[in-house]
Amino acid sequence: MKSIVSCAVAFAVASSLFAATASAQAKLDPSKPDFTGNWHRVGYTSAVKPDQGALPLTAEAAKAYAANKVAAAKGDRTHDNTSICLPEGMPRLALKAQPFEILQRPTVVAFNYQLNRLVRVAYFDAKPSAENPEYYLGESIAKWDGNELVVETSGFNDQTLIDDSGVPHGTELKVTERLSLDKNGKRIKSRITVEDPETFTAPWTVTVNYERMPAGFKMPEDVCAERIGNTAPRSRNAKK
Amino acid sequence: MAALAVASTAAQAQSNPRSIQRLHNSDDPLLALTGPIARVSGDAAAGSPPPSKDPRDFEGVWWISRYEYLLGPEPGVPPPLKDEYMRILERRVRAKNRGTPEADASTDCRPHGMPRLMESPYPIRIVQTPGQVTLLHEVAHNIRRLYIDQKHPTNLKPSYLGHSVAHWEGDTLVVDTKGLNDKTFIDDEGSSHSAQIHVVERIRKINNGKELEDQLTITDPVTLTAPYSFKRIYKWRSDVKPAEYICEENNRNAPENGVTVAK
Repeated sequence: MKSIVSCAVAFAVASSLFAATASAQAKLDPSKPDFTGNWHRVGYTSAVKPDQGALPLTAEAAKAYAANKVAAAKGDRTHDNTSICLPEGMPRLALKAQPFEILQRPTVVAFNYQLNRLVRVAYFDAKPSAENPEYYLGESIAKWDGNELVVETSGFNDQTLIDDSGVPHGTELKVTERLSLDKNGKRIKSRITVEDPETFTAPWTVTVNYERMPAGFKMPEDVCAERIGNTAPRSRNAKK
Repeated sequence: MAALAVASTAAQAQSNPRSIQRLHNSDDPLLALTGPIARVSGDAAAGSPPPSKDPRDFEGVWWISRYEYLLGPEPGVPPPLKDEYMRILERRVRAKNRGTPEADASTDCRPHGMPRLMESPYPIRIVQTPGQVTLLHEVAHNIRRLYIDQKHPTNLKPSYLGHSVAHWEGDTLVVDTKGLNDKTFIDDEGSSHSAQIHVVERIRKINNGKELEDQLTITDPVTLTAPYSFKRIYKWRSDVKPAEYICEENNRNAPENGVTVAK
């Protein structure tokens, strides 16, 4: 008798589980691709390689970039705030080789990076803030263009770099990612367009590919302060 | 004055370990407990979307309704720490009241640990995708991933936020967190835990979905005399867009010789 009761309870629990799962929360538009999952970039290079060839740097930006490269060659990384665990910024974060997670929902898409657990949340149906919030990772707005997920990001500070090789940028930076999922859902192509009139004489685009991490992958906890052992700011960048 | 008050309450607690000990961390305990919640206002602004009617849909932004320095079984009461750990807590409270708080992981921008993270007075965005509930905390870009209907791996490598598995019991999400390291505190005041800490949460929507209740049960055979529980309430805040919170930017309080010095 007891076992019948527990069976009945188990069945009731199981069916209520199913019912609740089925009724669940707001659903994704089934006509759009779902980018949810764990991804990593393939074909990483430390210096960004624009599809058009060379970076269209202004003369001043070219000078600053050259100085950063000279410093880096000498082991001086004071121009690179990731050396004190500040965020990579954009598009640098999207160009890294480390895994990241996409969580796609009807009103937001979250990009959660392994690197120091950085998060970017892109909002559908949103507008950029009237005033530049000067975020390290900017403010992101998501929209659909057919089957492409378009993420426009602006509202940056000038404390980050374009890539691991030290290309600088200013606060007028705008980054547009156009993500498309291949037919079998295993690969994302992202065309990243970068605009910044202070730094570049024209917009430029780099195309990067992300592949799915193996099934069962769980994002490891990455703590920059442990990796690097120093998060104290240098006086140059310390804010009051 | 505050240090004296702490010492005398501690003496009482030691003479009667089962009594509930109150540990005031300033001359005005009410002020100390209410100060940091200035950013936490009441209900969501008019016109922002109401919470979903689905009791298992936690998706959206939530914000703790009341902030406590101590995460004990009651407000203002420390966890049931063993005597040696109670003395450590008292030492930390005295150090803090002197203006030289002892450093822990969060002081140099490492994750806050559990259960402390759930006490953060900053908003949390919850995202629900198949097999996973994700908590994106504004505070210091902490992320918790709750894996649904999974088991803890054997030989978990200790981490700041541990490994969390969850399952539904009715409309309550039961979350089991293990594999935490011992580099964090239980609460902002500095109650100790070991790597054997085990946190079980029962999370459910209450008050027509306008609030999320988290009942946390903390077990730690090393630092606690017994397991204990407490409840926290988070308000539905669809009007809030969590901000970028980069602890590393303003890390002027990095510890020197294990002591935090305001710079």
